[in-house]
Amino acid sequence: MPLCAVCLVLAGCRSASRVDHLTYWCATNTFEIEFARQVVTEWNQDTTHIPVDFQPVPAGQSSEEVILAAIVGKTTPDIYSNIWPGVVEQYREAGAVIPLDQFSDFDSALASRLPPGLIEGFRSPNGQFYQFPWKGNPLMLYYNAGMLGGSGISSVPDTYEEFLSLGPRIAVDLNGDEHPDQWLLDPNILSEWWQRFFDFYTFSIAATGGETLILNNLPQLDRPETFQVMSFFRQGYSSGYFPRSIFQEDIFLKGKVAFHVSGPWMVPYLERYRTEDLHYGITTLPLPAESSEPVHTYGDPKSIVIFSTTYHPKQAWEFVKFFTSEANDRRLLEVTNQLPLRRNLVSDPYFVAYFNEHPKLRIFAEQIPYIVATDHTIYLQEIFDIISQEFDAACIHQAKPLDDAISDMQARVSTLIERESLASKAGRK
Amino acid sequence: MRMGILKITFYTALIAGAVTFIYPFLWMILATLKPEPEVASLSLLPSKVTLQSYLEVFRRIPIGRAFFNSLFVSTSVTGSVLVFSSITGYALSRLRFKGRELIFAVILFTMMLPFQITLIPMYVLMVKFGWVNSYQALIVPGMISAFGILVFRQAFRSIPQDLVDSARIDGCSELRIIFQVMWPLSKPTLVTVGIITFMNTWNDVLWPIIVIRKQSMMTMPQAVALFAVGGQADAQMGSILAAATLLAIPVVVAYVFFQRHFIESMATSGLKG
Amino acid sequence: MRRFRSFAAPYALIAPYGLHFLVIVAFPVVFSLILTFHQWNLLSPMKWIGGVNFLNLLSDPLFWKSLWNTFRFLVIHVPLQVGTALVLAEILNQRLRAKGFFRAVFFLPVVISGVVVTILWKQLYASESGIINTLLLSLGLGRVEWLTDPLIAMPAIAIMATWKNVGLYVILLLAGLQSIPRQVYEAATIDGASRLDQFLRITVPMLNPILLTVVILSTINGFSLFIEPYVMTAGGPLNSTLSMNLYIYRQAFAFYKMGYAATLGLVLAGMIFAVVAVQRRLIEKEF
Repeated sequence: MPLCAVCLVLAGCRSASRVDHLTYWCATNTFEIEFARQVVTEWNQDTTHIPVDFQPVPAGQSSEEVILAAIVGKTTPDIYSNIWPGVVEQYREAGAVIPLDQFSDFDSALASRLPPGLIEGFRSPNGQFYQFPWKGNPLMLYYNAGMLGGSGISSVPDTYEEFLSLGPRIAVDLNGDEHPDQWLLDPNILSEWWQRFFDFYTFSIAATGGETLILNNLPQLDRPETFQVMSFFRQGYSSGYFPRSIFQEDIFLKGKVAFHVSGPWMVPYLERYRTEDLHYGITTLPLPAESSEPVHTYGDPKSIVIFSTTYHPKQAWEFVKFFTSEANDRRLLEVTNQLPLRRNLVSDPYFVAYFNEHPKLRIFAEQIPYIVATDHTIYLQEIFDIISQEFDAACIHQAKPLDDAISDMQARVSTLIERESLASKAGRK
Repeated sequence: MRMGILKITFYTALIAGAVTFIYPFLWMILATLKPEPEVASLSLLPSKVTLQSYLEVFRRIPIGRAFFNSLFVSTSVTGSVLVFSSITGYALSRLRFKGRELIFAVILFTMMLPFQITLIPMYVLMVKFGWVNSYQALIVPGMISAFGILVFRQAFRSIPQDLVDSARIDGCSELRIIFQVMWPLSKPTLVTVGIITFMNTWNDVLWPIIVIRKQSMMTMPQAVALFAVGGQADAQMGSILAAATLLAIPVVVAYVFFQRHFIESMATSGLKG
Repeated sequence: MRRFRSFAAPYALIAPYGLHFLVIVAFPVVFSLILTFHQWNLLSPMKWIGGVNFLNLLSDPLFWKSLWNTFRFLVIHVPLQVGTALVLAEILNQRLRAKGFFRAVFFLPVVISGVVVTILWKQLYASESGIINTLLLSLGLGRVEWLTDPLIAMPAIAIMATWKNVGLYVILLLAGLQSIPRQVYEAATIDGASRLDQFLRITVPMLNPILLTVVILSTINGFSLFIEPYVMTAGGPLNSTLSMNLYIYRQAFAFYKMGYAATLGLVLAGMIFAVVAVQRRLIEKEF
């Protein structure tokens, strides 16, 4: 009996009274919490504003899972700032987020801030906007300058061929065990779906000049660039230039690898932990062939959404605009070293001082106009899981011919999309 | 002479076995005291002893809070299992009522039920109750165990009926009979069920990983596992191993003191399961 | 009044269990069965899709792969575990000194969280700076890619799992060995049976009931393989360590396919029942 009573009491604890403030969730890292604290404090100082409460998203590992649980339990906040554009479509389908273009000044707010080339990338397939693009962290190629120089390499490679041709000079055996002790590039060999953002996907975006994976509900994986990208990785692994190992330590930090793909967040990390003799630089990704065009990359963009549980959509939208104002964008740079998705970021006089002080971040900021997000599909995780398996088989372990892997990839993703839409139809009967 | 060689072989095997079991732990503990660049080295002794790795763990994740969570959850579950399982075990062994055999069969069935089948619906249930990220999600599902009921039922059966009858004549309620007559006479059983329940709850990771996503609510094994897999350790191996050591210490201390009870309890649970 | 009390008392005492059973066992089992016929991502309403989940499962290469992996794990783990445990228990059953110490040492990894053991072994197995490879290299043997070679990763996990759990089985078997009367061995010695003969013809058959328990226990434990691949390999390389539980976890909590995950869970549960039933038969017949 006590058990029963306990259950009832605990279950009854959730109240749903109408509230006169907004709740805002930010990301969990220390710097973003500090940023959120400053913005919210300033907002609340103006007494004409509706008060905002904030807390870090109650996440341990994947914030997507937390948001999902919150949607199911109807405990979402009013505003969340760290959403991955790829999952917004899932939330839209569930009716969990509100369209933002219902506000009359949405278009002008978006157009005045975002680089024009990026706008369409955030539109839902149904034509509306459910997210406000906030920040982006372009993935770029870090290189160990000392190691390259020490091996007599004077310039960073632009093409796959040049890149791989450095292999014999970099991936050498230093201690006489007939096994390389340093490597050319260190993609993570684990097969979790999101690992492929850092190798396959980023390289594909660069190779195709900024294309995503799906067009008109059809996967585009059987294009020639996929072959070029995968054969690049396959060669890297089969020649032993890329390590087929799981490392517990960071081998770029330890000076055991020449190149590493990562975002701007790695700069403060390297500055904190690197030893005196690690000198590094940052450059764009290599391409299948020489090109004079700017190099595109995956931008790890994060957006802001307003959940449909809110009682105050208008005020929430006002907060979003305040949150992404010019002053707060500079604060974002200063407090978190992350980049707002803003046009002319590097040339805007308002931001110049910051980039003069942080030259390494300028390299990332210059990349902002050329970043690409992911497709808007509710099957994104599964699509990347399929890619990851085929990549694992064909590139890392060479257990499968490249052509087979690519055609299987294409076929499996097509089947997935078809099967899911069939299942949906069956469900509607 | 033949016996002699045989004995030497036996001892050699035992010592080799012991080294295999102890050495990795020893290496791990000593590695956590090394400066970060030395951690991966094979040498056992640190060039200089430092607590830096431990400080990093405390700085990065709320491991103290996680320890408290685990302690609180495991103690609550254990207390609840002892109380409710003994009550049910008593009813099944000492009272006659309609449906008793059916309930007994249901309990046996529950014990054989692989948890995989209930995992997903249980998660859904927790979401619907609004229990994600709460102690309820960690405690309520484990409040009674079929294993505990069976062990108590078995133990209570061997207690003479006279004791129960005389307690009844003295006007004791059933609950008083359970806690004041049965419990004092079944101490080894209480210890067994207690240790097994506590250990299983303490060491469980799959369930916490599923229902707890808020760092301040995580159990210790969960927090350490995610620290090792996720990015929070900044790939600093010393602090990953330090987190693992912190996770091991409470259990090892308990084990050193109550070794015999641990071994006997686990052996019993093995045979019953 | 008294009559009523004695009639109602048992039910009052059983009530907490009954409630717990209904909410935590019965409801989930029933709901799980219902879920297997639906498509559901927790967000949108559940959609009835009939047997589609079961059909998909039959043609899902990863389901078969994870099944095969679990089978591979069991085939290595169970004999290795039971064999090692039997040998160690037999040695501990001799007249030797410090048996208590050795028993306690062998049992140590059993009480320590699998998370600790997994983190530790991930380091031991590391191909570049791991202790095991350093040891192999210093002995002039080759380097082994313990966790990154698709053929070796699962056996490596099975070895680790054996190391972790063997102590429990040593204790169980030792209890069994001690219950075999000394006279039986003495009589056999007089008849001139060698030690090996005695082991095979007396020890093993007389241990049969406990052996059965040990095999079943270690099979059930093997089926619940999760944290080891989750921490060490994330199911790779080439999905060779993707266990059934890890696959269920992924379908449910990475892809939100609750219906499909429940189907996988149901099939796995059925499989555990079947394998355990077969083992029970085989072992009981054998001796």
